[in-house]
Amino acid sequence: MIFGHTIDFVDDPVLNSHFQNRENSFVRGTIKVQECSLPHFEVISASMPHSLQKVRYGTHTSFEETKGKNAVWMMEIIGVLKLVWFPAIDTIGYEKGSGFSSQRLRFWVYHTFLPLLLQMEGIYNILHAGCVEVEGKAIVFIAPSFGGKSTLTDLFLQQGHRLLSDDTLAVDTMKNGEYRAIASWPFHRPFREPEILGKETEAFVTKPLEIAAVYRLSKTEAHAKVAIEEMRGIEKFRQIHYSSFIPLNFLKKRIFAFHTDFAHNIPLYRLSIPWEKRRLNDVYQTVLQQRLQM
Amino acid sequence: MELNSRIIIPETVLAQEIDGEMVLLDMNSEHYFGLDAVGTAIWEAMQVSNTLQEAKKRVLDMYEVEEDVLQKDLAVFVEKLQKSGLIEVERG
Repeated sequence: MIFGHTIDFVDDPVLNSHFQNRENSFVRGTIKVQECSLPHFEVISASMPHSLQKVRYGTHTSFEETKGKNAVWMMEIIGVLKLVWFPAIDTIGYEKGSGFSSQRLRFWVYHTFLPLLLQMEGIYNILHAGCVEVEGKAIVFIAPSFGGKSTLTDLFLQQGHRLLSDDTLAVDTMKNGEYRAIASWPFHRPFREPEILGKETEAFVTKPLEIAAVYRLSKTEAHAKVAIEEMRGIEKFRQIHYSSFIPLNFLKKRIFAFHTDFAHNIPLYRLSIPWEKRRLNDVYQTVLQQRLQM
Repeated sequence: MELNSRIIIPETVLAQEIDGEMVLLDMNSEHYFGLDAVGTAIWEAMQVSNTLQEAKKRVLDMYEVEEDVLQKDLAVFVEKLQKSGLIEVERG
């Protein structure tokens, strides 16, 4: 299960192998990924850097008009592959570039294209965040790049907790105002290597979990105390806003509503982390104690 | 500042309260703004008042403040909001 969906790599079933033996108790639907002839797009964006590649987007009608919903659109990773979303048949079509590989196909589908389409179709809201299960609920870690999200998710995995995400998290807003974390992919990457999902993990949550809290990570001096301080007001919004997945200007109103509601309803804490490997267990114990007391 | 002026909040300005503070988004400029607790109280008073005079009275009822001090602060606040494109002021 990837973001609550089964992803069927029609041309390369080996890419599906990590699904086959897992219990998938919550599956919202199936999305096919299939090589095919792709349409020509009249509206093409400028290229922009992403994951050390150049990426550009194409659409028939501007995103401002469609807001990305039910629209056929393209993401091109220049020199690697083109991906197109066909909403009528729940299919991601692709065309190979000179630098194509199956691994890169899976990376770009999971890491970027799928969360983008889920955001645009209004299925989920997406955050750039790590997330693990603690006491049956999801706790979320946010921070700028290289801010410690992967380190902290790795820490919790080593302590026996299960993974929901170490990079990109889907959030489902329920009618009762509860927010549920939808796990991304069962790979963990406690290292920085471009276009690599990481090491597959069995300790992966396959059903939605209620989000209990968000921790904004702040690195401190190695000898400093581990501290948890609740944040309030506009600062909460600011931190959630900075954790946007990809800023989509044509969805600004919808994303603003989500960020403000989420900030209003979910406790957000600043977690001060002494940046020293030997102190990480102190960080783990401090967060765990707080969660157990809640 | 003319107290019988009407404050109009454009539809392109979105506002959401979080823990007593207000986050505003101007869809035209795509800029975000934040109001502290007092600014939030004034904003909320303006939303439900027909004139600045009415908004001023609502805020006076909420806070122990000298009327002339509030009037000065209100004038500065309204001017800042107007310059940022978050409100329009219609002279009465």
